[in-house]
Amino acid sequence: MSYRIFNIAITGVGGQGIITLSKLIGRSALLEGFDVRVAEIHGMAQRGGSILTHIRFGKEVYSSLIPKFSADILLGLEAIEVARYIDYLAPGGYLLLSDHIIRPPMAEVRITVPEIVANIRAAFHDNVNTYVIDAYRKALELGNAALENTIMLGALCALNIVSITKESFIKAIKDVIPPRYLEINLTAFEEGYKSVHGKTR
Amino acid sequence: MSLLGKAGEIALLLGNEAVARGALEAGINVATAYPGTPSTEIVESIASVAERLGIYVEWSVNEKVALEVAAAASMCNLRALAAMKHVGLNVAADTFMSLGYAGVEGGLVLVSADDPNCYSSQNEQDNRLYGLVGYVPVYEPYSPREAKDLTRYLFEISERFKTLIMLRLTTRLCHTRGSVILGEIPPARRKGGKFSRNKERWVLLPVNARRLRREAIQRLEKIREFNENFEFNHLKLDGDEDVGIIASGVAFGYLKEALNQLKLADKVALLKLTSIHPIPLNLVSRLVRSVNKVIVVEELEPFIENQVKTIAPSGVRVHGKDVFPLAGELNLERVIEGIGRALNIKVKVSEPSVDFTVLERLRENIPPRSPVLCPGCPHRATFFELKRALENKRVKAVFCGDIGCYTLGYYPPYEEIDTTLCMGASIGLASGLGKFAENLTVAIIGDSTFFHAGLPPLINSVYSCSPILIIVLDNAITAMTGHQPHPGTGFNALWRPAKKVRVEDIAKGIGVEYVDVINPYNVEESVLRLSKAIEYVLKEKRPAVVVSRRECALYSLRKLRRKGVVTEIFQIDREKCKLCMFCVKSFGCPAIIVTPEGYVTIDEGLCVGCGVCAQLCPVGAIQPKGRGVRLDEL
Repeated sequence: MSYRIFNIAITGVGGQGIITLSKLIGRSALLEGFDVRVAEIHGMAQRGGSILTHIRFGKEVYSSLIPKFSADILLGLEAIEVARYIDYLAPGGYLLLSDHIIRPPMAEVRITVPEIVANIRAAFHDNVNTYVIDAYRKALELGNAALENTIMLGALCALNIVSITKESFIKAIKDVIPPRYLEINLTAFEEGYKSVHGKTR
Repeated sequence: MSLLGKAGEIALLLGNEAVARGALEAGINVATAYPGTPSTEIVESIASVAERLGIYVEWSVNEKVALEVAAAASMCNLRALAAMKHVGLNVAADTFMSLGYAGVEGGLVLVSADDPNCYSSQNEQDNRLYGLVGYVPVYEPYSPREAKDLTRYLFEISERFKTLIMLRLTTRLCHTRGSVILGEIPPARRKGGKFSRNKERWVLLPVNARRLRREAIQRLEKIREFNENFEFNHLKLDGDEDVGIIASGVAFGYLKEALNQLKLADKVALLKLTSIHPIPLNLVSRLVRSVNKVIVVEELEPFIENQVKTIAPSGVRVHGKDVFPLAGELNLERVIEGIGRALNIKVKVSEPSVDFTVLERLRENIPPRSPVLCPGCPHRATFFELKRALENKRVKAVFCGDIGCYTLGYYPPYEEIDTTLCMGASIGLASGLGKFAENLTVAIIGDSTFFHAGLPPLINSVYSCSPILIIVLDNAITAMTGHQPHPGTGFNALWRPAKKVRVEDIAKGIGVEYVDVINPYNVEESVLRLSKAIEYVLKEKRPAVVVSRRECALYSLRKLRRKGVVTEIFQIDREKCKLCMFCVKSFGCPAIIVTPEGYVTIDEGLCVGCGVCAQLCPVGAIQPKGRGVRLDEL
C-alpha cells in the first residue's frame, strides 16, 4: 500500500447524486484498507446548489479538506462547477468531466463544455489530463438521469490511478446501492469504464 | 446497515452516524431532536434502528421539548441523547440552564452541532460558551472515530457526576465520513424506569436553586479534576521545546497536517484538548510553563485561548485570534498561515504553475449558482401566486420570512422575503409590523416551523388584533433537513401512524376568523383566494391565515419512484412559443432553460411534471409529453 494521501474532489450541482458518488468512492477506498475521510455538504444545497465534496484516503488522514491545487483528480458532474472549483486540481492531475452543463435558472450562459476545457488546459499550460465523458446522455439512454454519477465512477475506475481495484469499486456499489437499482447501476458503471479504459495516457 | 455493524468491523460513518453508533454502544434508551443542519442525521440514523433495539425516538416539536423529553428519561434513570443545531440550543436554553443546576440521574448527553461558516444557519455562534454560563461540561472530538468512542464514554461521565453533558460538534465533523472501529452494542434495554422523585432537586424554587448553584460549582470543580487525566486529551511534551501548541476539535486535524508540512512535528510541544470545559488547568499549565510561546488553534471564539491567558506566566506569549480568523471555519491553509505568523517564519508554499489570469477570465465567464427551490417545488407556485394577488389588488407588502427552504424566496424572481431572523420570527415580527408599518404585512412560514415556534406569535397576533396575512407553506414534511416527519404529517419518527395535527384547526382554535386552505398547483384558483384573504385583512384589520398545502415535490417524487411510477414531463412547443420569456423571468424553475441558441426549453432530467408552468404560459406553448403521472393530478 502506498503511503501517500490521495485527494479526489467532486463537484457538480445538488441533486446529481454527488453524496452517493462520494460514499461509493469512500467505501471503495475503505475496502482497500485505507484510512478515509469524505467531507460532504448537506442542507441548503439539496437541489440546484453548487457542490464540492472532498475525498481523502491514505495510511492515516487527519483532516477532511483538500488544499487548493492538491487534488489528484477533479471529478465534475457539471462543467460550470468544474470551472468554479478548478483551483483544487493539482497541476499534472486528472480532470474527469461529464459533458453536461446545467444552466442556473434565469442566467444566460453562452460558454460551452469544450470552451471550458480549452480554458483549463491553457491555464494549466496543458499540464493536465482531461477526459470528457458523455455521461448525461448515456444516463438518459439507460433510462435515468440519476445514473450519471455511476457512469462517472466507472470512468474514474478505468483511469486506474488511485490504488483502488475494479473489484473494490464493484463491491462498494453492491454494498451501497439498494437492490432494486443495483443491476442498472452496474451496467452504468461498465458504460463509464468502457468510455475511458484503454484511452489513458 | 453500517450503523449496526459487528464489533471490530471498520465502517465508513458520517460524524453524525458515529455519534449515533456511540450512543447505541452506550445502550441509550431515548433519543430526541428537532431536525436542523448539521445535526439531523444523528437522531435520524438512531430512528432507523430504534425498533430493532427497543429505543424510544422522537422528532420533538422543538429543541426545548426535545431536551425536556430527554431530561424526563434521565429522571427515570434511563440514558438519553438530545441533538440539535447550535441555534436550537437558544430555543432550549431555559431548560439547559435549569438542568445545569439540577443535574441528571440517567446519563444525559446534549449534542450541539455548531456551524462555523454558516453553511446552513443564520449565525456562527460558539456553543462552548453555553457550557460556561450553564455549568455544563463540554467535550469535543476531532474525528468521526473519536466521536464514536467519546460519545459512548460521555454517558458514563454524565452518570458518575450526575451532570448534563454537552458534546460539541461542528459541521465539518458532522458531515465528514471517516473510518470508525465499531464496538459492542449491549443487547437488552429497559423500556421504562421509575421516576426518581426528588423535589429538592427538580423544583427550582429559589430556596432550592441557591443550593443547587453551589452544588453545580462544586460539581464542575470535581469534573475539572477528572479532566486532568481524561484519556481523550493528549499531551506531547519533551520539556525542551520552545513552542507549545494547543488545539481542539477539527482544528487539531488541520494542525497535525500543518506541522507535518512545515516539518515542525518533532520540534513543538502539543496538547490536544477534548475536554473543553472545565479546562484541565494543571495539564494546560504543564505545557504553558515549559515553553516560551503558546499557540492556541480553535475555531470561532477564543474560548480556550482566554483561559490559557489567565494561567500563562508573564513572559510567555499566547497567540490565538491574533493570528487565526475569528470568523469562518479553519482549514489547512489558514492554520499554516497562522502558525507562520505566530512563529514569524516564512510558510509560503511554492505557487502552482498555473496561469491565473486565464483562470480568472474563465471564472468571470461563469454565472454564480445560488441554491434554488427544486423543480416542482410548491413554494415557487405560492410565491408566484402571492405576487400576482398583490399586483391584482395593487398592494405593496412587507414579507416576513422564516427558516426553511422558502427562505430562498429572497432571490429573484420572487424577492418576497424582507426579513428572516430565526425560527418563528416571521409571525412575531409581522405581529408588530402589522401595527407599525404602512404596508400590508405578510408572514411566510413553513409547516414544521409553524409547529416549532409559530403558535405563541400567532396567539399574539390574534390577541393584539394585528392586521396581517399569515401564509403557512404546508408541504407536509420537514423538507430542508431531508424529509423528517412532524406533527402535521400523521407519522412519528419511526414512520408509524401518529395523530395528525392540522394547521387550520390550530388557527381556528386560537381564534383566527379567516382561515383558508389552497392548493398552490392550481394557479388561477390560488391567486383568487389569496386576493380574497388580502381584501379581508385590509378591510377587517384582523389577521388571516392561508394554508398553502401541497406535498414537497422531492418527497412526492421519492415515494413515486420507490413504487416504480414514472412521472410526467413537460415540453415547449417551439412553433407556439413566442419567446416572451415570461416563464423564465417570472417563474424561475431550474428545469426551464434558455439554450445557447436562444430557445426556451425544458430539461427532461430536471422536470418533475408539476404542470404549474403550463398554467402560466400566456400562449399555451407548454404541454405534457404524455409520459406518465402528473404531480398536480395526484
